[in-house]
Amino acid sequence: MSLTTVGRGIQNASSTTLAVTIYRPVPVGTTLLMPIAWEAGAGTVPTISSIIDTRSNTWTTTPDDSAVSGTTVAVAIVRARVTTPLIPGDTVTITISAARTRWAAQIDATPDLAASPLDAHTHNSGTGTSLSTGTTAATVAQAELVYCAFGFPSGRGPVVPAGWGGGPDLETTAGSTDRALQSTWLYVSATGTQAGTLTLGSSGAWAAAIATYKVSIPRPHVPELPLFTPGVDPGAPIAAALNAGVRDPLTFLTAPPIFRARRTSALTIAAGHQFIAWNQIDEDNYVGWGPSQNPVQAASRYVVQEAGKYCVSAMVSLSGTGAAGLVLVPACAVNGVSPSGFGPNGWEGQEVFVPTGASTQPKLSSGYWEVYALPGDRIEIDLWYSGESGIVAVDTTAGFQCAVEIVFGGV
Amino acid sequence: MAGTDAILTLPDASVVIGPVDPRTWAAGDRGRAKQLTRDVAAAVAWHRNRPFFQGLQTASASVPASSWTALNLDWEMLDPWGGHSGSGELWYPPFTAVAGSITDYYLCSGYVPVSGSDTTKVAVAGLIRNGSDIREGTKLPLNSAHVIDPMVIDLIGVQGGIDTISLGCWTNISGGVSTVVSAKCPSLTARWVGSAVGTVSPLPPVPHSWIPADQLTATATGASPVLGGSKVPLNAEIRDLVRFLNYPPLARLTSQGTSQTIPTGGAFTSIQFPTKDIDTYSGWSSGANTKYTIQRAGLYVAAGYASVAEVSASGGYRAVRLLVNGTTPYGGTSSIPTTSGTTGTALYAVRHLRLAAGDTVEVQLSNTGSSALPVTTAAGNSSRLIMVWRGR
Repeated sequence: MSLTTVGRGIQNASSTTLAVTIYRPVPVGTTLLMPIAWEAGAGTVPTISSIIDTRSNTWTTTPDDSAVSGTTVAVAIVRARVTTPLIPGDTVTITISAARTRWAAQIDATPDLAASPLDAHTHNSGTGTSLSTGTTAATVAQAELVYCAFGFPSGRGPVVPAGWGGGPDLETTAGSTDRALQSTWLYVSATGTQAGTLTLGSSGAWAAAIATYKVSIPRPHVPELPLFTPGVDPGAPIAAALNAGVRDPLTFLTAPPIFRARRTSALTIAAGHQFIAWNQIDEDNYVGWGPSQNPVQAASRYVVQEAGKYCVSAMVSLSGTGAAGLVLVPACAVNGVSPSGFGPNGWEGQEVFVPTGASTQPKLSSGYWEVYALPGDRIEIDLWYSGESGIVAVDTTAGFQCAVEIVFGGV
Repeated sequence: MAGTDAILTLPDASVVIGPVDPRTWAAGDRGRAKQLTRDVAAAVAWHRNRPFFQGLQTASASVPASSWTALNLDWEMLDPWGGHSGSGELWYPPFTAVAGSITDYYLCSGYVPVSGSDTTKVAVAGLIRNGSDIREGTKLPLNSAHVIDPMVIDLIGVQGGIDTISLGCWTNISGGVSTVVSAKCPSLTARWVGSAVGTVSPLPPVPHSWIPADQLTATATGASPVLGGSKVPLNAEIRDLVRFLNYPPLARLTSQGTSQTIPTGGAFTSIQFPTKDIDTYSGWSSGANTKYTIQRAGLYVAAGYASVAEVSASGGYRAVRLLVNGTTPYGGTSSIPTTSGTTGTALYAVRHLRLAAGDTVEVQLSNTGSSALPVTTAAGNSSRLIMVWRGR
């Protein structure tokens, strides 16, 4: 878990803009947190019109939280998720709707946050030497980053609490009416309320905001055998070892890749073979279905993300009037063929003589298979039925819809 | 043949021959690498690679009339634990404990495609434990128009290293049938799904994401002495989670003991299960014996097997489904019965269901024939509900 300052900027003149220059590379996937402090002669938090960086990453212009302390100082926290890398020399330009005479802004970068990370937040203001953000509502995720921004008059010598992160404060240098900005942060590993504090060397009016951000825990891969080495240094190495050796494999074993889907809308079929195109995805925790996984034939394919054996259950159905001799068979295909080597379009499940009567008579057949597949392999369900009837549709009645369930079972 | 070819070896050279019961941590214990290896690495080694077998019959075999016949499996698709030999019919699950009682449960499944021309006769797929303990599967009428491919799924308790599991078939057509090995073939799959003895555990929490400020504890929770960190109880994080994987919710309920009949008219009727063979988390109660009540949330494989005797030439069709919470159906299979004869019909509904604690699962059969049909009750052919927890 890490947070690094990658840019700082001040504005000593009355202006509607401030450009902050990036001085460290910022890769894709990084979350940028930008606290900003302004003088607040207007008695408000400024309205942010735009934030534009050199590489056109998208910034929030509505602060995650903000605060103002009378006509002395205002503070806000804004954020961006980097989709195009930033390099040293790039700039981030903030524009507000009405000019302020003093600005200070800092950009802190972290690779740790979820794509939509904002959880709890609040703000506070006051006058004195003991600053507090106020207490947030309880956070929802075990692992979160607690991030605070404090604005106050310059020259106050802020002291960051023990255990918290936070570099030197950033102060404007106009010589009068100068303002200061201090960010602080803390990684936590349990849910609960959060609050940030700061101590000033001398009293001043202050404004503070706090936001908590959910840390991203990537989906673990099929676990290798964990290796626990005696003598691992305390602190970050142990945390990393336990995440790799305990959290990730046990997460995978208790929450393996699962895909469940149905065909709930009309589907025209013909006697013979066809792979069923799914339109209702009930569960897909490893994102194996969808246009990005299936550029050729999107709807019928579950693209395996982790190598191993998969338990597959499926039910296929027909809708229409049957006929004597009508049989219905589901089959499980990997890459379009039967993994058993027997079956032209898949490993056949039950072949049954289904009811011969009207469409009100359910015509159903099920199968259960265990198949081995590698990442990129596609698992599909083939529906085959014989040609005695004039049936050309699947059953979309609730409970009788064609369905597939795919669950990782082991290496 | 003990089926132990695939001994699992850990990075510290220790060997895993079964699910390891993890230690109970005490206050003051240190998180030593040796202990974590024994508890976590061994659990990962076992549960990522649970005993498994998959074999096919690629050469057609004869199944005589009215005699359960074990089928040779001449193609070992996957036999990492070495429990099968050559082209034989037997698979020996690997040993995991001292023999003498049921030690492990396996979810076994298979298909037996056959062809026959007498619509008054049936064929049945089955599993055979130790050569004589028959577990019947789908029972379907034969018809010269097409091959039939009955399926079988069951949860079987075994003494590892001693007991055997085979794929079987039965038919009552005169002269018997031959298995089909063109475009389909008989197959058997067996997968270890749980120990027969273990500790009932809470649904494990989502594993903790560690930060440097955290503190290992046995059971204590709350804030650690270091700001931002928390006390992480290893008895919950490791012991209980591994115990849950070793001994998850499993159930096998059967209709043995019922005198139930499935009425005519086509309404789906819940099947009574007066007998529980396996119920590790007490989801069954005799007072509501059509239902299994979920005790731990998760994804379950649910196999509902509805088996009835037929009244000759009753006609109509039979359909089986699962029903969740009395309202949500999950379809299975529908079939016409034999044109005459009383051997019976048996069908499966097998689905993976996302279930919350307190949800109920039932097996229902619809009968549109002219006669009410008695639910079968013998040990081998009784209706049943199999439940196996598969994931969070």
